[in-house]
Amino acid sequence: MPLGETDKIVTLFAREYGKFNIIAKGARRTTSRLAGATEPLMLLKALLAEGMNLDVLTQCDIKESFPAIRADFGLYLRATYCCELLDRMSIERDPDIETFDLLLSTLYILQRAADSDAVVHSFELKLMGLAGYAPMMDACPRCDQMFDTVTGQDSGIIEAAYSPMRGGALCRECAMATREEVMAISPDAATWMRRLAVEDNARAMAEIVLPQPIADQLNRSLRSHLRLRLERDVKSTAFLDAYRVGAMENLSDPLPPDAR
Amino acid sequence: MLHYARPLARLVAEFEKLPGVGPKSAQRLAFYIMRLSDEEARAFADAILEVKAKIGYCKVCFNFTDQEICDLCRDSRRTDDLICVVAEPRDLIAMDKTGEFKGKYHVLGGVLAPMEGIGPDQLKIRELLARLHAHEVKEVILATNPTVEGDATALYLARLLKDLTPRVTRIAHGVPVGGDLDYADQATLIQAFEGRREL
Ligand SMILES: [Zn+2]
Ligand SMILES: [Zn+2]
Repeated sequence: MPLGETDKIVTLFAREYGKFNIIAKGARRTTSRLAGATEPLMLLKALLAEGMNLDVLTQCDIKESFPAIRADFGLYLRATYCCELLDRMSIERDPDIETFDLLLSTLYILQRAADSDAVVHSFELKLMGLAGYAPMMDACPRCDQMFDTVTGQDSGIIEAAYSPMRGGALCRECAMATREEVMAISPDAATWMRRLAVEDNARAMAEIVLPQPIADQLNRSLRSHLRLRLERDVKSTAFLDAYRVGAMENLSDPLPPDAR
Repeated sequence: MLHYARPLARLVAEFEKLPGVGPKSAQRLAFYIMRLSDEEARAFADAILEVKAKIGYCKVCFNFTDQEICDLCRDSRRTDDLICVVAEPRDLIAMDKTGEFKGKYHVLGGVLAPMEGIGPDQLKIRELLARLHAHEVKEVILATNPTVEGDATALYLARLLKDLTPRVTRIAHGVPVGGDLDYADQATLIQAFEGRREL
């Protein structure tokens, strides 16, 4: 089917069918009922007709449009990042109900989260878990000693660094001995990482607030862990980072008039 | 494509690169060109070359123009007190056809699209700030499309501009959510303009 100039190609992620592209005929016209429905961050009940190359979206109902996310630029960037990460990590037409439910609940929780970055990190950890890339946090991947996750820093083996290469936390001895790239991670940060990876109570998740040093450590180690496994950057990460440090607003230092 | 003579195959391939043109239409267009007289064909080719050679961006508003500064920017009947911000030159044209707006424009060259790697630095946002610094503007009207990305761009700009101008408004969503301004009819656009609200 030829793609007309008012048609849109849209990627859907369906609970029962996984990720695939469809054509929405006429969806660029403002009068089309498909226009709003084929926007990013829409939960749809959709009816598709089999097409030559791509299926065609014939009918759909918008079930949820996440207005709180659309009304807040910071939340919008975080939601966009989650969608892009899922897109990068999923294979076409690979049904994945758990991942679908994870994204959906993440978007709902984002709308009333006390700390939206905690929600994003939890999403990253759970998504990697489902894909088999979860950071190893129970034992040191270099010497196999189990961490003392109950008593924390007081006794036993503790986490001293994160190794993106090995995909897990290293014990103090191994962190000192190894030459690979490691990043500082405290036992507290490791404990948060373990909790965020399994927290499945939406209400509790929405109330979590990460202390700033913990958030920084998680951000660095997860970023690096993901980059190695995806073998490239997620494009929206750069904007999310810029937004987090306020750099997107430093634009108010304008160009001198003669440089225009 | 093997059954075409090489020059014809090349032309078909070029047409296929155009938006909304599939293999069938490309073939149809190429055969149409074949039937043109030499002069007609040359006029067509010249038009393409001329547009590339002579049309650039206005230094002030980044609309298309064949001059340093476009006609709209130089029009003294238009007030400098109002700036209407649009995503693309075609949105400017759609907006200006309504005849409702008597201020100046600013064309961003797109909308923020994090997933496609389009951030503030890829758009003419710095240049908009420079305009607001250069002389006082009473109102900035954000007329990006009412899509998720257009809305996000407006949200971002509203925050960025709030200390630089007394009034930042967003055109009302008489335009249904998800559509392009380009395809909106005139009446809808006029309503959208009148019903703009402060951000
Ligand atoms: Zn070890
Ligand atoms: Zn101009």
